[in-house]
Amino acid sequence: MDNTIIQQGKFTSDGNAKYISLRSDVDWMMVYNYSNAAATGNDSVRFTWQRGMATGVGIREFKSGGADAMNLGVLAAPDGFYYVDTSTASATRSPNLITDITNAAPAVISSVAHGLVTGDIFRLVSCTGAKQICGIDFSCTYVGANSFSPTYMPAIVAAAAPGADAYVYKVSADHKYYPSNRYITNITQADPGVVTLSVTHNFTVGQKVRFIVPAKTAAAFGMTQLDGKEATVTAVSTANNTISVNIDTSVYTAFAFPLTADMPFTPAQVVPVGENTATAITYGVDMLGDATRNRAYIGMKLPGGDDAPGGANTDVMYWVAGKSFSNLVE
Amino acid sequence: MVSSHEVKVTESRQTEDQLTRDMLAATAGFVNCTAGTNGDTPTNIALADVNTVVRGLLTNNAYTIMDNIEGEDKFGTAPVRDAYVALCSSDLVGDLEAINGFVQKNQYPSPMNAHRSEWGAVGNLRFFTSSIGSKVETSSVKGATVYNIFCTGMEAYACIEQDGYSANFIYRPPIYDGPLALNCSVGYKFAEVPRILNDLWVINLRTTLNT
Repeated sequence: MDNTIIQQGKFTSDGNAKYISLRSDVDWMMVYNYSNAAATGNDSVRFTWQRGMATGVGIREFKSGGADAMNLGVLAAPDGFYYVDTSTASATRSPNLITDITNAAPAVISSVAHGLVTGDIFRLVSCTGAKQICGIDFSCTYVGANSFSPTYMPAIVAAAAPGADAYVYKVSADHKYYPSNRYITNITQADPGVVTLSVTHNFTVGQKVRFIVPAKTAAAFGMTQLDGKEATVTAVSTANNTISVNIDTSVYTAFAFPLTADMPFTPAQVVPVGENTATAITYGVDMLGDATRNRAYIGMKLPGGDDAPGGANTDVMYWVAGKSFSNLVE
Repeated sequence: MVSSHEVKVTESRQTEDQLTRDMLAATAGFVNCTAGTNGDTPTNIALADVNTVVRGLLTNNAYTIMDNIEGEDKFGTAPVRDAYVALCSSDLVGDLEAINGFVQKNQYPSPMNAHRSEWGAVGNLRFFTSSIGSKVETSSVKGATVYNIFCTGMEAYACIEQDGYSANFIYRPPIYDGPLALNCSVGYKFAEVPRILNDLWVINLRTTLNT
């Protein structure tokens, strides 16, 4: 029947939240924890969600007392299902102010119950000190419940108190299209030059990029010799979120991030421009690595855990999801 | 009366615009407005910011898209230069009119040469506004909405049809639904990819509102 589409899949849990991309939207979803079904513990086996339920909830079926008989219960937030639509990306404010930004490398930002986890993208706004890193997206490293760091940001000069109205926002999704431009946080003086980017870049060897390195002051951004230059990515480091490029930057002026007093300015950027096919062939990588891809999707976030639909580490999970006629009128 | 089919057709073309918009927002290099007076980063748009973009596109040998409109002996009009196209949100109309040297489209010597979505011109930029223009909420240093103005030269980007078509509008009458022919269906699908052809010929000028 038209308008009824059923999809299914499988994954092995790593204990973290699992994001499932679902074609053609979703009206209901069931997840089975095959490992728990085979075990004799008290853990959850089946999870169900249906359109109309609140965000973060669901229904769970679980074993009890070592018996195979199933019990039924409500799956409460934050262990339930989270509908995801990255085409409507938004920024959600942390419930608390930023109270401190250090000048460590990377900076440690204090905010009570910030709610961020490692890998999230965040943005600071309304700082009166450390303005130079406001309005820029950063990948997050979770330091503690009340502190986090911009993972790939070198120390900023003389970080001042962020001010009385400074907030952190979690950015719900990265740019919809790949490859996308990225903010530069550092460039080494070396051959080859190594460029650090503020958010996980996903560039691949062989891609061509162009640099935008504005001259804001005599000191910042320093390495303006690189401005407008086109380069080929010759190596990437996922650990450091860097790209190495076929330009010798050792003779260039040192890269310097602007200061709070330098606002307003245009940030230094890397802009994707295409593919160096010769390099791609040499390195044996995909010649179409620069292909434009729409990464937006509709799907479901399944939180990890024994009693959550994302499962515990090594759990084998099966899922079924469907799109059908819905009648939510009461 | 507008049928649901007509709504869907409009929606499909608007989706195409949105996809292209999102590609430009993700991929194009950007310049922050810095000459405005609102104290934010980026600032509100000013003539110096327009000049920065025009200078950049000229230096990169981008061709203008719009022809010049020759001056005529009519009161209150001014000739319009050949121009690059600037695509932006309709939220910006007030700020555009506040730019020094802004020419409303009704001040063109021949307003019929202006497009319906056009708002006016400054120097070598002609501004086109849309309710679905690109903007990013909570993105300025002060936490304001940042508006992307895509300033583009000729053939800076394209929509590439991958299977011989851009979008298919598909209508199935009820007879295909089931034995009782209860439900018809209507929808669309895309087989195109928006892509920047030359990154030097498109600049995203980012701005905030002057309020």
